[in-house]
Amino acid sequence: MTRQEFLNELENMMALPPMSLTGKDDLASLPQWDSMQVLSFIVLVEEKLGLVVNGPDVGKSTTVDDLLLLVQARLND
Amino acid sequence: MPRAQLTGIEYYLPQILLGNEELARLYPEWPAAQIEAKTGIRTRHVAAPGETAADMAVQAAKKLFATGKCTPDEIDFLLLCTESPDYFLPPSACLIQHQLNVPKSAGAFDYNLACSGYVYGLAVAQGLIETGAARTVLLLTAETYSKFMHPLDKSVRTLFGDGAAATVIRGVEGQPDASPWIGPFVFGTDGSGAETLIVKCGASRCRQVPENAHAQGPDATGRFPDSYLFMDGPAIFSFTLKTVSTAVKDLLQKIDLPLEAVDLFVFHQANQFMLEALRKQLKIPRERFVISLAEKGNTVSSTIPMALLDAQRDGQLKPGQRVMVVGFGVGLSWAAGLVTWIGI
Repeated sequence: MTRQEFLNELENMMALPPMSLTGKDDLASLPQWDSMQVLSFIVLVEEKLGLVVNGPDVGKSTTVDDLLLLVQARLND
Repeated sequence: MPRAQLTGIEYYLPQILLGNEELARLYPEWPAAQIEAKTGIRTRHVAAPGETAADMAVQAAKKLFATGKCTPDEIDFLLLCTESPDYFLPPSACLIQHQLNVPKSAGAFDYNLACSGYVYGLAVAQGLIETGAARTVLLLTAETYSKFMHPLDKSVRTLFGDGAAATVIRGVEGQPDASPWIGPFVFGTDGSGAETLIVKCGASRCRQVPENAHAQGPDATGRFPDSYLFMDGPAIFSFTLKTVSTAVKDLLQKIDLPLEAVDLFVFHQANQFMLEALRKQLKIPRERFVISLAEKGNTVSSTIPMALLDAQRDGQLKPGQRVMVVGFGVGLSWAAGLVTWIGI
């Protein structure tokens, strides 16, 4: 999955307009990002890549790029 | 050798109700419809002040006796799964033996497990029966998480409900070559995750409950005083996705059968969002997967027996079916096992 495809999946998950995320987005500034979206993100990664990311690390992420790095780290495990 | 057979279940729910509308009034940022959409729960039952897990277990057992499926004098072993005993000592199981008029010749003990506890209880009951140590085991599960939860902690109050269940497991002779009705099992434990779901104060490590804890709100990190239930939701969610599918696959490997050979899956009823994620992860068809928590919430160790009885009443669970039960949670602890349903 490419970076852009993953951003598109995140936009879909948070019901954001297509191409609205750049990666540098501050999660705290996205009203859609809440505790349920943390769980939804864990499910999204599991569904798309068959990997389970660490929940607390998702919760601590501050930008969309942080989320992508978490996934990248799991892919490199 | 006698074989263990699950021959009866009843459950008890306390009378006080906590609905989503009331929770939404307390937490306006979470509308009632949103709570139901995310958790799958409409109502939880809450133990009355002074009503303990042991009291509820007694009520569940009395309901079981009222069905005629077993009598107190037949019971020669009583197991109580709870994290909410009446006292540090004696064990609540001993108090319950007396209240239910179970013979003094019966063994009885408490064991401290939560959402995995029912599956462990079935395994212990099977072991007691199939080694000849007992003939009729009363397995009680009871929990009052409402007494552990801070009134302002919406992340747990929306999920957990109080309740108790009573299950009778009997030894049946004359089945030497037949497949077991209960078992086999797989288990798992990971104490490194202990702090992800915990009540820290009140027991031996931290006897002193912080003063005025009830009046205190969350700290800057959103955490409530240590005398209250703490749940790291994302950590528990990751743990569950990692371990449950492995446990299910390990059990299938142990019996050398595919997932399709299991007629019904009854997982611990944590919340609908988690159950759906697990169902999709394991590719279990919806019609072979029980979701039964809308009117009770997550009753911890009692969700599986409650869901089994509800599934039978709804016609989803029928005699002869092979059922996989899977528990997971506090500990961290998990277990999966098989039950051949005889109809109760």
